[in-house]
Amino acid sequence: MNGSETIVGGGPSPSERLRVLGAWISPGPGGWVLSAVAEGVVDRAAPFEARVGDQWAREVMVSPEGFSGYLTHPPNPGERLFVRYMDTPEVRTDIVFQGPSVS
Amino acid sequence: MGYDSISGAGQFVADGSGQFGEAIPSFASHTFLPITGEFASVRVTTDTHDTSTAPITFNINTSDDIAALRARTQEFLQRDPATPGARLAFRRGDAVMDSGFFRVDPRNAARYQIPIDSLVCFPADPADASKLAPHNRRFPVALIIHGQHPSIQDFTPFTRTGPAVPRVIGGVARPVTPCRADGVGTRVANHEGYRYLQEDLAAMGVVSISIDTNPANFFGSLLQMRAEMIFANLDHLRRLSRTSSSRFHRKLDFRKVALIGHSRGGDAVVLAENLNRRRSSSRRFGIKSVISIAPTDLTGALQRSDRLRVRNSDLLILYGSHDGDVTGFDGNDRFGTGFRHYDRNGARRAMVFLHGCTHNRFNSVWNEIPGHFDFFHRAADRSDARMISVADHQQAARDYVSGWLAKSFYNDNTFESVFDGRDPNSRGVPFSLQWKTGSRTRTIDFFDDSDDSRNQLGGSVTPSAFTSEVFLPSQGQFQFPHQDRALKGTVVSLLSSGPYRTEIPSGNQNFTRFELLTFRLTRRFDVSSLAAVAADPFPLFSIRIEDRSGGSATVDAATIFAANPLAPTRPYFRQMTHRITGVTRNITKNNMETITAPLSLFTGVALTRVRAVEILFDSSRADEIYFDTLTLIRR
Repeated sequence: MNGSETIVGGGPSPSERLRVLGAWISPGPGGWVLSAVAEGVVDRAAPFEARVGDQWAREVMVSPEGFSGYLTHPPNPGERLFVRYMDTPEVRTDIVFQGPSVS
Repeated sequence: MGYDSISGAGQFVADGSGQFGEAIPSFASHTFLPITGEFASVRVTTDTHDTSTAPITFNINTSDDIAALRARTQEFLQRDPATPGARLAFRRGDAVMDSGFFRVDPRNAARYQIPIDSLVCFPADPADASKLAPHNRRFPVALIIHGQHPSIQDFTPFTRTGPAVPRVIGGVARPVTPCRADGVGTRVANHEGYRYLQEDLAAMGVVSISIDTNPANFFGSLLQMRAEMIFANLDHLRRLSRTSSSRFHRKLDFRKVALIGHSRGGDAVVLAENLNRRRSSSRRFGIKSVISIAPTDLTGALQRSDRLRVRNSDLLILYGSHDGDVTGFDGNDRFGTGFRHYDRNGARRAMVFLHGCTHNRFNSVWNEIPGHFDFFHRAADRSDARMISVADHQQAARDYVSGWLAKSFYNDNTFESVFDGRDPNSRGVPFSLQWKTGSRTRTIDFFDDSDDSRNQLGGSVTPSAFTSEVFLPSQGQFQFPHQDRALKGTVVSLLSSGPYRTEIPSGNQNFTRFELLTFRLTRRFDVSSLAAVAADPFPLFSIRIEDRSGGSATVDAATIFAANPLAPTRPYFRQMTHRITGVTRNITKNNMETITAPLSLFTGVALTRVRAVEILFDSSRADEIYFDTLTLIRR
């Protein structure tokens, strides 16, 4: 025992388990809905957060297979998806918005 | 500390029912009673925190209108059992209505209602377990609310409502099919995880109701919806108590209510205590106590007036040093822990920082959910020998919750020694304690006002060259979990001299009305390793009291510590590494703890005529010491 966290169960940080497999946007009331299929996203005390480029998604909700949230305007091509929990470092995903859909 | 809501000197007084109040009743039997099939008008409120700005802003942005709810196009994704890799997509607003999870308000077809399932536990009549035990008075009520955790795992059965849309998932085009939910498949019974507490509460004559907030969890609500669900459940219970055919008829005392919350629920109970005051007197509850177990602090980054704090009720906070969910990992001020709740509160209060406790082990259900657990600690995790067992978590919670409510509900002081640093818990779980409770308290200084030259009593302050009032987070977000100002003494060996002196106005000169001089204390320990923490010494200082005739008495730290059987404690060393970013963070906390200096130690000074209190910093070694909440207390 050394007081340092070891890799047991979930590992040393919740966000390290995150892996976004795909994402897309679709029109929604007052903006756009960002949907994502992801692994390792869980309901926990700290809220889950996502942004595309500089635009943070609002009302982010998670499900067993991913998460979704509202965007006020569609992302610009080339903008990347970042995710985190409110209390953890941000994870840079390999999901980049390419135009009419995010892939 | 500057949030004491009690007028002037921060004093509170026993309510006159006697030191030991009414006897704590004892009941041998209890009965669990699920309440299901009930619905209430509660708005879905996602109170979104706007992450693009700091501080957080909360937007309450929906109503109980069905059309508005259905317009929510947030997708809920689940695996398609018919096709590997494929997904099913449900619109959340539609899903909760179509599945029957929510229902149409029978009185207004345009409105929806949410389910208010719960689990009640009551002291039972040994002769008939379906009835409440015979008792000569009504039973106090405790409401328990869990936090954000998985709620609905899937919607089953379902109907495909449109053609599948190909989406790139994992680099491969996969079909995602829009669906209508015809029913709710798996629901997690989060609220079942506190049966152990409910049994204990029943044994002491408290009727408890553990509520299911899965509707709030499904929509990711932060606090508002949870708080409204608290009232929906309490209102329902009160209706039952007014219904002649109910077993609860005229059995419940809603002038004695405790709110017990875990995780986000531990934050929501503070909001509920605030919202309760806005209710009409006929709808208000007598909330005697708020208990937050491993709470989040989601409002600590709001402007000061918007930060949630308990105002009129007792507050107990339990928080584990090995919490794997509310960790303070990132050290940002947007997300805080129970330490900040304690800092902001102004009533009778205590916070127990339980060494070795995790987040989820306080809920017997949570560690058993596949794919979700305390991020570090499954139920059987033994990776760190300092972590304590599930059984010890539950016993510690029993000890503290029942002991605290003995005072709040029955004005019984039997267990006060557990909350004022005299006695350990029954399992010997180590802890660090902050507290401010007693029959009489008077705070000399919070070190948190706009005028550093005056204390809380109006007396003048003479600082020394090496003391200053500082905002603790500015001293290091990771190591100082508080959100408070404190007196900092930066001692540079041999160069330091002169005491920090605070004058006592004549109207407050009689210290014999109190037993203890208390203060919160920490120092900047060397937390670079477990060994360093263990080897680092405790703060060196002395307290001097001077009377109006020039007499004085000085007591050093060693003597004071000897009068504190369970304090001071050293920081709990904890370090985590993020595997993706490689970031290692030492989140060992130099948390404040309350130290008592019995006034009986100050001999040779006229305690009836105190002129000043001084803090003397020992200049024999360099040090960085933090004092706060200098308070007189009578137990």
